[in-house]
Amino acid sequence: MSTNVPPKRVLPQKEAALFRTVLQMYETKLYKKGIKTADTILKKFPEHGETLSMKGLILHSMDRREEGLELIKKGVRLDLTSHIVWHVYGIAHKSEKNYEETLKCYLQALKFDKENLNILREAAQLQLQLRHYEAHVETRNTLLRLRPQLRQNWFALAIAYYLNGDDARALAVLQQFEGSLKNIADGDAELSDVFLFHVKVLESQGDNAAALALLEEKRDERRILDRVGTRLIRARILTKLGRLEDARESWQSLLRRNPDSYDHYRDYFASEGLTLDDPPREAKPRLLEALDRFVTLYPRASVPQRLALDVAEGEAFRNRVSPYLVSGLRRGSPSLFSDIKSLYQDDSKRAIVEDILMRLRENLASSNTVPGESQGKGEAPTTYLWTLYFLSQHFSYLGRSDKALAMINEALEHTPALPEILMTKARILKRAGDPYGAAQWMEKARRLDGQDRFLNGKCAKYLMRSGNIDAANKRLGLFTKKDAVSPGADLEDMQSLAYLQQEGDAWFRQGRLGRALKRYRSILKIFDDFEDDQFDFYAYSLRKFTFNAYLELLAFEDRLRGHPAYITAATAAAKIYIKLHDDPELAHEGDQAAKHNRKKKRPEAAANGNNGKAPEGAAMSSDVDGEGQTLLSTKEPLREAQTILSRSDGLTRHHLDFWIVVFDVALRRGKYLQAMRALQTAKSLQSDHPEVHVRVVEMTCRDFSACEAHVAHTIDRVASELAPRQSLERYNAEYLQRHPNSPSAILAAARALRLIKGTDGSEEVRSLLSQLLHSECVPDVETSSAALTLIGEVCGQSIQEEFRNSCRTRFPLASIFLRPEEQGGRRRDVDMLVDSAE
Amino acid sequence: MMTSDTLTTHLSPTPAADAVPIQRVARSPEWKQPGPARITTASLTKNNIGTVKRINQVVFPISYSAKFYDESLAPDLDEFNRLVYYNDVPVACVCCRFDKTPGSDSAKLYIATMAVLAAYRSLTIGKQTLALVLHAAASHKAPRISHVYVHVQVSNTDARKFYEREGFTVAAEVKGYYKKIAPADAWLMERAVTPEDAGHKEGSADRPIAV
Repeated sequence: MSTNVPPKRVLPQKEAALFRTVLQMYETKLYKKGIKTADTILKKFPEHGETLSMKGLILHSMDRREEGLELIKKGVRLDLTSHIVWHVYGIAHKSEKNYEETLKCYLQALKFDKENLNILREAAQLQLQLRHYEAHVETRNTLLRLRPQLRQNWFALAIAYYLNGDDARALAVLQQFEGSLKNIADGDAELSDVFLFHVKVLESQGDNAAALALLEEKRDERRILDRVGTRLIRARILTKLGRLEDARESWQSLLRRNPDSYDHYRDYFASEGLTLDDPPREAKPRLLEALDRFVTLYPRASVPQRLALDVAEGEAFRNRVSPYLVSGLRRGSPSLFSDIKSLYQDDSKRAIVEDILMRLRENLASSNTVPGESQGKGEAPTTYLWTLYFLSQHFSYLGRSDKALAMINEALEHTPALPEILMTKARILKRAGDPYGAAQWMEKARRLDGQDRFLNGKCAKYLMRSGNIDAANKRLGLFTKKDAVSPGADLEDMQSLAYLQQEGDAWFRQGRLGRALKRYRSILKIFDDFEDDQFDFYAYSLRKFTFNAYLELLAFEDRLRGHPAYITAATAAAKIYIKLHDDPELAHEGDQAAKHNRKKKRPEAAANGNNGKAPEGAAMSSDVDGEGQTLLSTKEPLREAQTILSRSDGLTRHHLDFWIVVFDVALRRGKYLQAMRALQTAKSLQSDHPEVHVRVVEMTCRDFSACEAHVAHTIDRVASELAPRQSLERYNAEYLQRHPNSPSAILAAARALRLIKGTDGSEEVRSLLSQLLHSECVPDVETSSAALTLIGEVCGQSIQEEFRNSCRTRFPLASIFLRPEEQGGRRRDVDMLVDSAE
Repeated sequence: MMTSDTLTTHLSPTPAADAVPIQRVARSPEWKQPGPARITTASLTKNNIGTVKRINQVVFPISYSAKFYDESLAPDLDEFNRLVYYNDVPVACVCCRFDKTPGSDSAKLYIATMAVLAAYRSLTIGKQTLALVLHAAASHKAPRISHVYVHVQVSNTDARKFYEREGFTVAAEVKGYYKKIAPADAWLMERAVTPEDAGHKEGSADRPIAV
């Protein structure tokens, strides 16, 4: 590059030395001195681009971003062919996580300094971050050419080829590299990972035989150190090669090592040509026989016993489940019910479990023995306790609150100081529609053990549910950093998605959309951070030879926005944007709420002698826009929603709620084809789901004549396939008939009716919803509560009150049917209880 | 000794749910007694004191003040004040204090409360807990402990029998000992601490609560 340096860049010897000091000072963070030194140069050479941009970079790092950026840009303009100014410009972009622009600057810098190793390495890293696999290969090639003696450059190139889908070249590089190795030390962990990667590439190329040969060779040479990993890969390849006898043996040897791995059993049975997921009837005897063999082989492992419960039916099931339950109850395993409940999908199994437990309870109470066992001593009292505990969870799960309460009340009388029992009481109440009572019992449970973090988190969660958000934060504060601005701020720093989701939901339930949206957006932001996190891992994995793990990370990152937590938050945020679109006035309600709040809080804070800040929105008190007003005042809420949702497109399929919201957004934006696609995806997941039914009717009701002719035509055709436009009412009635006495179907039919008939249908909606409270209908608090809201919207307040009273009679425990002011009273009771602990 | 704290905890937040009746199954004559229990114990801390309060609240007809529980946490009582677990379930607890004899370096140990939940009685949990207390008393140096004593309400013959089995004798009957419950009289039961108590440490597998 020294061939034709433009004269304006060349500095006299003294200044050139000063410039080098500036570089050093930047690197050692001596920012103030750096600026002084740069200024000395600039006094004589005010147009020196490299010095200007270095000064800019230092200012940029000193929190004087704008000013710094200006100088950097000026420096670039003054010396367009200097690699230093471009590099500096790139660094500034990088610190703002703008990877696209950074890469552009680096590539520009490389034009003028083709062999700058630093910039090449960084460019390679950025290319991976941005998934520019082809360009990445080129960069890695250059790096290898420049420094072939560095081990990492070899497999970095191999990985580059592999990621670019060029397995053959990747293999060639690996072979060349492995061929050049001499004097390998024993236990070389770096090489071990190289060989495992080599096997992986062979496997991906489809050359399983070669993969197996290499794996076995390197295993025997003791070059691959991950013994378990080797066995897993070997078993997998053997299965692929169809060497089932050997595969089976490998899985068996893996099972010997860990007889409690669900995966190993699954793989073992696959090599037997059997499947554990919904096996065909005729395969069941063979499966059971094999599982029984494992049970005898590994008597201490619970997984084969549990798997047998999935497979067995009828008497065989009863004979197996009974000892399984008794042993769990004797051990006092609190998770027994959550282990068992997945069997309840099968009604007959549910009935058998219930029958066994009810008999057991009776036997224990009357004679303190287990049916069918004749041992000398009676059972420990805890067996009876855990039986009651199981039964209360069982009945609560099935919506039979009274029976559940009878059981848990007895358990409380028997053992009043075990947190699990109080927690279950809280949970039963929550399910029965009493969030306030539930929160109080959870707080009582928490007081039994103040150092149990799980219990504390549960307590906070229940307080969020009951709308005691400040109290919840107070509880969370018992376990967050003491010097944090607020418990919420610390939890956000710690990227607690669960907390943000819970608090967002809590604000949403109170209609504080701004605050809710803020929490949801924080979750989405954390996912951006997750994406950025992979950046640094590349350099690390090359240095530490952990690139097999790195490849897994890349795969994970590529599917990042399909993560359930993202989907849930994105869906919730989109729902708020939809509300904002449907009723733009909502954007200003936050103002009033905030004003109202401030007024209300002031005297209280004064009375407490507090600084007035702490109680108000403890979570975000440091924040200027605590109410999330800026978020709410967006001009294009639907676009925001669309942007959030589109990031998960193609990454999720099974999340029905997601597709429903995608539909809702697309429909409002007039993107009918998109809406149709979302609806069809949702329908393919669960064609008769209540939300799907409502959307089908909503879609069919629409008038598409305003669209372009060919769009209107397509939509009309597809819509008429969904439901008959002329006889939607009958379609709705048929839906109801298909799901007699199902609360959610009744609600869906009522919502559909409202769409079909508008205000004319209010009487019909009312009479339909009143079916929810009939005795033959399955009692369902949540649906009835949604119906209460709907009836208010359609039929007005007096009919709503009437319905509310009927709900209260039907669900005497459910406080959510109290009038809002009564619920406020209950909420204050909860606050008082929490405060009384201080 | 009712405090505002105990008042709020006594008032149940969910009267309707609490009123759901228990469907009881009666004990038959064939009811089999379980074998003796193995217990583990833990120190009292400000975090688990809630459990102690709850057990006492259920077992005793009187409630103890917040001050009582604060004092139970004193470090020098750690060996005497224990929370007792059986199969990882908290079922019993004991709170004591020193009763120093003026002008001497010896003291008596007063058992203020010793509670075993009803469903866990006759499993030797009380006997083992008391043995732990006696063991600690016998090996205690400053102050040296000469006697252990306890108040038993005169209606509570089961408790009296229990303490008698463990070598306690009625030293006095205190008239009007209880202020708010009837009968108001109590037996004062006492037992000397013997050197043998130091060797006698049943079921003492000491186990801190898993954190």
